[in-house]
Amino acid sequence: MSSFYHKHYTILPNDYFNAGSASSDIKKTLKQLKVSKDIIKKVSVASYEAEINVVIHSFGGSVDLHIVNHTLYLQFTDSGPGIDDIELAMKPGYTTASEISRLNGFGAGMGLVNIKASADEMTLISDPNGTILKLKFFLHTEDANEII
Amino acid sequence: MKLSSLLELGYQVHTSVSLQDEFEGAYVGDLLSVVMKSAESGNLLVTILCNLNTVAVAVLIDIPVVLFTENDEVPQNIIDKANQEQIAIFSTKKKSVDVIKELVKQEII
Ligand SMILES: Nc1ncnc2c1ncn2[C@@H]1O[C@H](COP(=O)(O)OP(=O)(O)OP(=O)(O)O)[C@@H](O)[C@H]1O
Ligand SMILES: [Mg+2]
Repeated sequence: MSSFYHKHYTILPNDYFNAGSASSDIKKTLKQLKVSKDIIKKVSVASYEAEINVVIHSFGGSVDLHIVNHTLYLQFTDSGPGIDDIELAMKPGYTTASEISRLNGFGAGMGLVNIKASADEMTLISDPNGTILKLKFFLHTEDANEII
Repeated sequence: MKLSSLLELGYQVHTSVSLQDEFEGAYVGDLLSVVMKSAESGNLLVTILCNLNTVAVAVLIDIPVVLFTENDEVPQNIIDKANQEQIAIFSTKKKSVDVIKELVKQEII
Protein backbone atom coordinates (compact mmCIF):
# COMPACT_ATOMS: atom_id res chain seq x y z
CA MET A 1 0.00 0.00 0.00
CA SER A 2 1.34 3.46 -0.77
CA SER A 3 0.37 6.91 0.39
CA PHE A 4 1.33 10.49 -0.31
CA TYR A 5 0.75 13.70 1.59
CA HIS A 6 1.98 17.22 0.86
CA LYS A 7 1.52 20.59 2.53
CA HIS A 8 3.23 23.93 1.98
CA TYR A 9 3.61 26.68 4.59
CA THR A 10 4.90 30.23 4.23
CA ILE A 11 7.23 31.48 6.98
CA LEU A 12 7.39 35.25 7.50
CA PRO A 13 10.59 36.96 8.70
CA ASN A 14 10.61 38.52 12.19
CA ASP A 15 7.04 37.40 12.83
CA TYR A 16 7.42 36.36 16.46
CA PHE A 17 3.65 36.25 16.84
CA ASN A 18 3.03 33.41 14.37
CA ALA A 19 6.43 31.79 14.73
CA GLY A 20 5.95 28.05 15.16
CA SER A 21 2.51 27.84 13.56
CA ALA A 22 3.71 25.62 10.70
CA SER A 23 5.36 23.23 13.16
CA SER A 24 2.22 23.21 15.28
CA ASP A 25 0.14 22.25 12.27
CA ILE A 26 2.64 19.57 11.25
CA LYS A 27 2.42 18.10 14.75
CA LYS A 28 -1.39 18.01 14.53
CA THR A 29 -1.18 16.22 11.18
CA LEU A 30 1.15 13.56 12.61
CA LYS A 31 -1.18 13.04 15.57
CA GLN A 32 -4.07 12.45 13.19
CA LEU A 33 -1.95 9.94 11.30
CA LYS A 34 -1.31 8.20 14.66
CA VAL A 35 2.46 8.47 14.31
CA SER A 36 4.14 7.30 17.53
CA LYS A 37 4.79 9.89 20.24
CA ASP A 38 8.57 9.70 20.22
CA ILE A 39 8.66 10.40 16.49
CA ILE A 40 6.16 13.25 16.80
CA LYS A 41 8.45 14.81 19.39
CA LYS A 42 11.54 14.49 17.18
CA VAL A 43 9.78 15.98 14.17
CA SER A 44 8.26 18.76 16.29
CA VAL A 45 11.59 19.75 17.84
CA ALA A 46 13.45 19.78 14.53
CA SER A 47 10.64 21.51 12.69
CA TYR A 48 10.24 24.25 15.30
CA GLU A 49 13.99 24.95 15.47
CA ALA A 50 14.22 25.16 11.69
CA GLU A 51 11.10 27.29 11.40
CA ILE A 52 12.39 29.73 14.04
CA ASN A 53 15.72 29.97 12.23
CA VAL A 54 13.88 31.11 9.11
CA VAL A 55 11.89 33.62 11.21
CA ILE A 56 14.83 35.12 13.11
CA HIS A 57 17.80 34.72 10.76
CA SER A 58 16.39 34.97 7.24
CA PHE A 59 14.50 37.23 4.86
CA GLY A 60 11.63 34.74 4.97
CA GLY A 61 10.83 31.46 3.29
CA SER A 62 8.73 28.35 3.48
CA VAL A 63 8.53 24.75 4.53
CA ASP A 64 7.20 21.79 2.58
CA LEU A 65 6.02 18.67 4.31
CA HIS A 66 5.95 15.46 2.31
CA ILE A 67 4.99 12.09 3.62
CA VAL A 68 5.64 9.27 1.21
CA ASN A 69 4.79 5.83 2.52
CA HIS A 70 6.65 5.61 5.83
CA THR A 71 9.07 8.47 5.30
CA LEU A 72 8.53 12.10 6.24
CA TYR A 73 10.45 14.88 4.51
CA LEU A 74 10.69 18.50 5.61
CA GLN A 75 12.30 21.05 3.33
CA PHE A 76 12.92 24.57 4.65
CA THR A 77 13.84 27.13 2.03
CA ASP A 78 14.61 30.81 2.55
CA SER A 79 15.76 33.70 0.43
CA GLY A 80 18.97 34.63 2.24
CA PRO A 81 21.23 36.04 3.61
CA GLY A 82 22.59 32.50 3.96
CA ILE A 83 24.96 30.94 6.46
CA ASP A 84 28.59 32.03 6.06
CA ASP A 85 30.26 29.07 7.64
CA ILE A 86 28.04 26.01 8.10
CA GLU A 87 30.59 24.13 10.18
CA LEU A 88 30.74 27.03 12.63
CA ALA A 89 26.95 27.44 12.65
CA MET A 90 26.60 23.76 13.64
CA LYS A 91 28.80 24.22 16.76
CA PRO A 92 26.84 24.13 20.03
CA GLY A 93 26.57 27.65 21.44
CA TYR A 94 27.41 29.51 18.23
CA THR A 95 24.83 32.19 17.57
CA THR A 96 24.37 35.49 15.76
CA ALA A 97 20.87 35.96 17.20
CA SER A 98 19.75 39.56 17.61
CA GLU A 99 18.82 41.19 20.91
CA ILE A 100 15.13 40.98 20.05
CA SER A 101 15.28 37.26 19.26
CA ARG A 102 17.16 36.64 22.53
CA LEU A 103 14.41 38.42 24.41
CA ASN A 104 12.03 35.95 22.78
CA GLY A 105 13.97 33.02 24.20
CA PHE A 106 16.12 32.18 21.19
CA GLY A 107 19.86 32.39 20.67
CA ALA A 108 21.24 29.50 22.71
CA GLY A 109 23.07 28.39 19.59
CA MET A 110 21.51 24.94 20.00
CA GLY A 111 18.94 24.86 17.21
CA LEU A 112 20.98 23.18 14.48
CA VAL A 113 22.44 20.79 17.06
CA ASN A 114 18.92 19.79 18.13
CA ILE A 115 17.85 19.39 14.51
CA LYS A 116 20.77 17.12 13.74
CA ALA A 117 20.10 15.02 16.82
CA SER A 118 16.39 14.70 16.01
CA ALA A 119 16.34 13.98 12.28
CA ASP A 120 17.29 10.65 10.75
CA GLU A 121 19.00 12.53 7.93
CA MET A 122 19.89 16.20 7.51
CA THR A 123 21.26 18.16 4.54
CA LEU A 124 22.07 21.86 4.84
CA ILE A 125 23.14 23.94 1.87
CA SER A 126 23.52 27.67 1.84
CA ASP A 127 24.78 30.63 -0.12
CA PRO A 128 23.98 34.36 0.05
CA ASN A 129 20.83 33.77 -2.02
CA GLY A 130 19.36 31.44 0.52
CA THR A 131 19.49 28.36 2.68
CA ILE A 132 17.90 24.96 2.09
CA LEU A 133 17.56 22.53 4.95
CA LYS A 134 16.30 19.05 4.13
CA LEU A 135 15.28 16.66 6.87
CA LYS A 136 14.19 13.06 6.67
CA PHE A 137 12.42 10.99 9.34
CA PHE A 138 11.40 7.35 9.28
CA LEU A 139 7.89 6.96 10.65
CA HIS A 140 6.11 4.26 12.51
CA THR A 141 2.69 4.35 14.13
CA GLU A 142 1.66 3.49 17.71
CA ASP A 143 0.23 0.33 16.27
CA ALA A 144 3.01 -1.33 14.33
CA ASN A 145 0.51 -3.03 12.01
CA GLU A 146 -1.12 0.18 10.90
CA ILE A 147 -0.10 1.62 7.57
CA ILE A 148 0.18 5.39 7.40
CA MET B 1 0.75 15.56 40.57
CA LYS B 2 -2.41 17.62 40.11
CA LEU B 3 -2.27 21.24 38.93
CA SER B 4 -4.27 22.21 42.01
CA SER B 5 -1.15 21.55 44.12
CA LEU B 6 0.43 24.65 42.51
CA LEU B 7 -2.56 26.77 43.50
CA GLU B 8 -2.23 25.51 47.08
CA LEU B 9 1.33 26.87 47.14
CA GLY B 10 -0.03 30.32 46.37
CA TYR B 11 0.93 30.54 42.71
CA GLN B 12 -1.50 32.54 40.64
CA VAL B 13 -3.47 30.69 37.97
CA HIS B 14 -4.41 32.46 34.73
CA THR B 15 -6.04 29.83 32.54
CA SER B 16 -9.30 27.92 32.62
CA VAL B 17 -7.56 24.56 32.13
CA SER B 18 -8.84 21.96 34.65
CA LEU B 19 -6.85 21.94 37.89
CA GLN B 20 -7.45 18.19 38.00
CA ASP B 21 -5.01 17.81 35.08
CA GLU B 22 -1.68 16.27 35.96
CA PHE B 23 2.01 16.95 35.50
CA GLU B 24 5.05 14.96 36.46
CA GLY B 25 8.42 16.41 37.42
CA ALA B 26 9.72 19.79 36.34
CA TYR B 27 12.22 21.48 34.09
CA VAL B 28 13.75 24.93 34.59
CA GLY B 29 15.07 26.90 31.64
CA ASP B 30 14.91 30.23 29.87
CA LEU B 31 16.39 29.33 26.48
CA LEU B 32 13.86 27.61 24.27
CA SER B 33 16.30 25.41 22.34
CA VAL B 34 17.60 24.04 25.60
CA VAL B 35 14.08 23.53 26.93
CA MET B 36 13.21 21.65 23.71
CA LYS B 37 16.23 19.44 24.09
CA SER B 38 15.97 18.64 27.77
CA ALA B 39 12.43 18.99 29.09
CA GLU B 40 10.38 15.80 29.16
CA SER B 41 6.76 15.55 28.11
CA GLY B 42 4.46 15.94 31.09
CA ASN B 43 6.90 18.22 32.95
CA LEU B 44 6.02 21.49 34.63
CA LEU B 45 8.11 24.19 32.91
CA VAL B 46 9.46 26.85 35.29
CA THR B 47 10.78 29.87 33.39
CA ILE B 48 11.15 33.64 33.45
CA LEU B 49 10.52 33.66 29.71
CA CYS B 50 6.97 34.97 29.55
CA ASN B 51 6.04 35.13 25.86
CA LEU B 52 4.05 33.40 23.14
CA ASN B 53 7.00 31.30 22.01
CA THR B 54 7.13 29.66 25.43
CA VAL B 55 3.54 28.49 24.93
CA ALA B 56 4.34 27.34 21.38
CA VAL B 57 7.20 25.20 22.71
CA ALA B 58 5.02 23.79 25.48
CA VAL B 59 2.47 22.69 22.88
CA LEU B 60 5.10 21.07 20.68
CA ILE B 61 6.77 19.02 23.39
CA ASP B 62 3.65 18.20 25.44
CA ILE B 63 4.34 20.38 28.47
CA PRO B 64 0.94 20.67 30.22
CA VAL B 65 1.77 23.57 32.55
CA VAL B 66 4.09 26.59 32.60
CA LEU B 67 4.95 28.62 35.72
CA PHE B 68 6.33 32.08 34.98
CA THR B 69 8.65 33.31 37.71
CA GLU B 70 9.78 36.79 38.88
CA ASN B 71 6.59 38.12 37.41
CA ASP B 72 2.94 38.34 38.40
CA GLU B 73 1.35 39.82 35.31
CA VAL B 74 0.82 37.64 32.26
CA PRO B 75 -0.21 39.39 29.02
CA GLN B 76 -3.70 38.52 27.80
CA ASN B 77 -2.53 37.23 24.40
CA ILE B 78 -0.42 34.58 26.15
CA ILE B 79 -3.35 33.53 28.34
CA ASP B 80 -5.66 33.35 25.31
CA LYS B 81 -3.25 31.18 23.35
CA ALA B 82 -2.66 28.92 26.36
CA ASN B 83 -6.41 28.45 26.90
CA GLN B 84 -6.86 27.67 23.24
CA GLU B 85 -4.08 25.07 23.37
CA GLN B 86 -5.14 23.75 26.80
CA ILE B 87 -1.84 24.65 28.46
CA ALA B 88 -2.16 25.79 32.09
CA ILE B 89 -0.38 29.02 33.04
CA PHE B 90 0.68 29.97 36.56
CA SER B 91 2.81 32.87 37.75
CA THR B 92 4.69 34.01 40.84
CA LYS B 93 6.99 36.84 41.91
CA LYS B 94 9.36 34.27 43.35
CA LYS B 95 12.63 33.29 41.65
CA SER B 96 12.90 29.97 39.80
CA VAL B 97 15.39 28.60 42.32
CA ASP B 98 13.06 29.36 45.24
CA VAL B 99 10.14 27.78 43.41
CA ILE B 100 12.13 24.58 42.91
CA LYS B 101 13.14 24.51 46.59
CA GLU B 102 9.48 24.85 47.53
CA LEU B 103 8.31 22.14 45.09
CA VAL B 104 10.93 19.74 46.40
CA LYS B 105 10.14 20.53 50.02
CA GLN B 106 6.42 19.90 49.45
CA GLU B 107 7.33 16.70 47.57
CA ILE B 108 5.56 17.94 44.44
CA ILE B 109 8.57 17.09 42.28
N1 LIG C 1 18.09 30.02 7.89
C1 LIG C 1 19.20 30.66 8.28
N2 LIG C 1 19.65 31.74 7.59
C2 LIG C 1 20.77 32.40 7.98
N3 LIG C 1 21.51 32.03 9.05
C3 LIG C 1 21.12 30.97 9.77
C4 LIG C 1 19.95 30.22 9.43
N4 LIG C 1 19.83 29.21 10.33
C5 LIG C 1 20.86 29.32 11.17
N5 LIG C 1 21.65 30.38 10.86
C6 LIG C 1 22.92 30.78 11.50
O1 LIG C 1 23.40 29.69 12.28
C7 LIG C 1 23.52 30.08 13.66
C8 LIG C 1 23.25 28.88 14.55
O2 LIG C 1 21.88 28.48 14.40
P1 LIG C 1 21.19 27.68 15.60
O3 LIG C 1 19.78 27.42 15.23
O4 LIG C 1 22.04 26.50 15.94
O5 LIG C 1 21.28 28.69 16.84
P2 LIG C 1 20.46 30.05 17.06
O6 LIG C 1 19.31 30.11 16.13
O7 LIG C 1 21.43 31.17 17.00
O8 LIG C 1 19.97 29.86 18.56
P3 LIG C 1 18.83 28.82 19.06
O9 LIG C 1 18.44 27.99 17.88
O10 LIG C 1 19.48 28.02 20.13
O11 LIG C 1 17.71 29.65 19.57
C9 LIG C 1 22.56 31.24 13.82
O12 LIG C 1 22.88 32.08 14.91
C10 LIG C 1 22.73 31.95 12.47
O13 LIG C 1 23.93 32.71 12.45
MG1 LIG D 1 18.01 28.49 15.96
